[in-house]
Parts: sequence; C-alpha cells; structure tokens
Amino acid sequence: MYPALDSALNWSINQLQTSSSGSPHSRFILLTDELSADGSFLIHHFIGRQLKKDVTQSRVLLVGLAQSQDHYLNVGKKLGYNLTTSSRASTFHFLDPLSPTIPVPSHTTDPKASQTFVQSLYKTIATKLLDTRATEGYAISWSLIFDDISLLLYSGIAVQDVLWLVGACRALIINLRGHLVVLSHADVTTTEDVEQTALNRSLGHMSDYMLEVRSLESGVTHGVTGQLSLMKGPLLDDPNFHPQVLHYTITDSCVQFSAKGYSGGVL
Amino acid sequence: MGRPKTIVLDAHSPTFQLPRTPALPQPTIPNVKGVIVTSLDDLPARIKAAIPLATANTLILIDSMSSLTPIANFPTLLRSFVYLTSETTRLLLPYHADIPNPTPPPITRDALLSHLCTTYITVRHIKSSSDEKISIDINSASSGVADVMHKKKSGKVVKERVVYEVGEGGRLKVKLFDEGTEVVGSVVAPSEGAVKPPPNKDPTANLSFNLSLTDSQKVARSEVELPYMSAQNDSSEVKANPEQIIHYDLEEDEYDSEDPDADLDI
Repeated sequence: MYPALDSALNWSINQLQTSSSGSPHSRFILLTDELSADGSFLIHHFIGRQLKKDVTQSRVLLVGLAQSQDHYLNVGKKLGYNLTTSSRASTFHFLDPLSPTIPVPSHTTDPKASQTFVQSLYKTIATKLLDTRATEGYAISWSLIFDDISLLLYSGIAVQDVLWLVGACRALIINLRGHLVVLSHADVTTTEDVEQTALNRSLGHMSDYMLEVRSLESGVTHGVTGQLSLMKGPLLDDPNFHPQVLHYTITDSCVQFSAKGYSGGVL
Repeated sequence: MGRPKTIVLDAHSPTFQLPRTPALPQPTIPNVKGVIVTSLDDLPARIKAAIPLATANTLILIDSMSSLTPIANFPTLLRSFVYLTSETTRLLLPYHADIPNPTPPPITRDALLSHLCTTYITVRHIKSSSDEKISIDINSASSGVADVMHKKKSGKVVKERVVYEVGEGGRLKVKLFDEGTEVVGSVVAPSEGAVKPPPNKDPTANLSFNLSLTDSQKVARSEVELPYMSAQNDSSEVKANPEQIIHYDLEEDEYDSEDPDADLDI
C-alpha cells in the first residue's frame, strides 16, 4: 500500500522479512496511537497490503472492535481495494465480537465470565484460521488484525485475559506463518491508568515491531498530520531494520510519509 | 544416546490449549528435549525432576517471570523456584520491571525478587543524565548499561555498573564502567540502507544556503581592520607611558563654598 512505509520497515514488496531460506517470518506488529493522533490509517494499510499480495494465498481476518464493517468497506474503496469483492471471494473476513446482541461481561462482577468470553473469542478465531488451512492448504498466508484491543479493556475484560487472548493469537499465527497486527491506545495523559499501561507494555515485550503514532511535538501544523515512530521490538532479529521517526500527512486518498522535518508541508 | 544439554519445559503453549480446539503441532529441535507442562502448579516439580537429567552444572532459565506475576500465589511459586538452587544449580529469572501490576500486592514484586536473589541485574538503555561519561551508540538496541548488585556469602554487597554490547552471533561484550574514566564502546557498524552519522559532524554540510568561505574571502576577512583593536593597542602604549594620561583638573569644577544654610538665623 505505502511503499515508503514498507521500505522504512525493511519489508519486501510481497511479504514481510523473509528468512535465509526465503520463507516468510511470522511477525507481531504492535500499533499504538493517542487521542490527538489516530493510528487507524495503519490498519487500512495492513489490510490493503495483504489483499494486494497474491490473491490466491492471502487472507485477512479483521477483528473489528472499533468500527463497523461498513466503515472499512468505505475506506477501502477510497484507498483502492474492494472489501466487498474480497468478502465474496473469502479472502477478507470480518469479526465483530462486541456486537450489541452479545453481552460483554465485566471482570469486576464476574471474573470467570471475562475469561470465558476471551476463550470463546479465541476459539472462533482459531477455528476460522485452522479450518481454512485444512481446506485450502498450508500455503495460505493469514493476517490477523485487531482494531482496537483497548476496547476489550474498556468493555470490562481483565488485563490478564486480554493478554492471554493476544498471546494465544500470537502462538496461533506463528504456527500459521502469518502475522498479527494489534492496535492499542497509549495516550500520554493516561499514564496513571495502570491497566492500560500494563497492557501496552506487556504487548510491547511480545512484539517484533512497534509503530507509535503521535501528534507533532511542536504542535499542530497544516502540512503535517503527525509523526510515526518505527521501533524495534525485543523479539525482532532483523539486523537491517533501523528505528526511525517519520512524519506523515493524511490526504483524502492516501497517506504520505517523509523523513522528519522534510515533508512538503514544512519545507 | 547421551544426556541432552538443553531441556525445554513448555509451560506456554498448553495455556492456550482449549477443549475442542485443534491442537497446534510442537516443533522439534535437535539435541533439545521438550517437555510439556500443563499446569503451572506442577512446574517446580517438573523442573526438579528434569535437573538430574541434565549435566552436573545446571542453569535453570525461566522466561519470563513477568508472565507469572499475575498469578495470585506468585510469592509461593517464586520461593519454590529459589529452593531448587544449590551449589551446582543456578537460577536465572528475567523480569520486565516496567510493567505495572494492576492489582498491587502488599509486597511489590521488585522488592520480593531483590530480597530473594543473590544477584540483581538491572538492564537499562542509556538515556539518563548520569550516563554522560558513557559514549556508545544510544540508538542501538544491542548495547546498554547494566547495574549489578551481588550479595556475597560473607554478607558484603557489591555494586558495579557495566557497559554491554551484543555482537554478531550473540556474543556478549562487557566492560566495567569506572566513574573516573570515560567508556567508549565500539560503534555498531551501519549496514546498507542505514543512515550513517558523519565521523566529524559538519553543521554547514547539508544546508540549502552557503556558509563556507572561498580562499579569496578568507584572505579579505583577515585583512579587515577591527574598529576597537587600535584602542586596545593604544591602551597598551599608555600603560607603558603614564605621562600621556590626560588628567582633568577637578579644582575648576569647584564645589559652591557658600553655606546653603547661611540665611538661617539660628
């Protein structure tokens, strides 16, 4: 989708970093954003990127906690990929675990119910991914995307249950050689929120890449929307990836990336 | 078949194994014996059972304690791990201290770990102002500073700071940091595509306007007479010849001798 971002992450056009034998590595990409800088444009990037690869072998399972399916369909049309067609071709799957018809338990009233909810969600995800592998073969490359995981916390799910869910999905994706993308809120103003901080830091310790979306440190400006920090997770073993900060500008049809201080809105 | 040098007790994957969910295949690694542990309560016993299977000197690595801290009986579990240590068996516990505990116990995890262990190593990145004398690549994830606290059997506590760097192949280079000396570590070799910092940073190198001088401009600049240099030179001559100092006679500027209170009839 965005070649500049792929280049900064040292990813090849068709797939993520490959091993010496050429097979793709399974990766966990953690995205964090804040109220003043929304990181959902990265979600659309990973959706579009996966669907534009080999259509016969690429699949996306989007766990949409933040938006409805129509939102992703409309944004996809603007960005140049058709999720309706992909849904019909079974290359794009949407899961809404927070549907109004499904009551979400609160761990403060019933700790067991919180655990049961995430286990049920994981079962749904695992069944979907493993059944596809059984019917379509081991060459299928999956992209499991959570948008966004903080909403489980806000809905009353305990931190350890959310971490269990992400850990289970990560183990599943590693086995399938796919990649896991998780968006989580990390507002600077909520550093006193112990649960949010514990969630984000724990996810950071499990990740390969950490992409942090922030507003500009110098304030709001017309030409630049915000800054994107690309950081190396503790588990990444790519010596050719170098952490850096990019400025990004969101336009009506795309997102432009540039080196810090060199965007067209500044010069 | 000889004894395996490495035994891996997998207490991670079984936690994600749910009823009626397809099981994930376990990878096989040469010369590594894998054991599945389905319950964390059984973990200390399984570790103890595995120790005689390994070589004489055994290192137990539990990766990581952060996964176990949410457990309610964490202190009991930790103590059971510590009891496994002996003269030939050492215990290594990685712990992420930056993750806060949403339900803080009466005794903090950090206090508990530092109390029970004999060596406490805090690994951190170089960002503190107290690290001014440490000059290594701060953007490298493979280098940093480690504060080591070791409790000897005699009761003496030794504290030291080391600078480390993980090289190629995972080789660890450690250098003791002395307060009186400056530590300069090796710079991480930049690979292709990385931005190389210039060895001697020239601030005028990449500007859109020119700040440098041509040779003729340098010559012209050297020939410019500074306006106050002559005054400085003159003052040096005056000091050498004090007779040329001009004194103003203050007697001309007399004070009015009339008594301002003369009209008072006291």
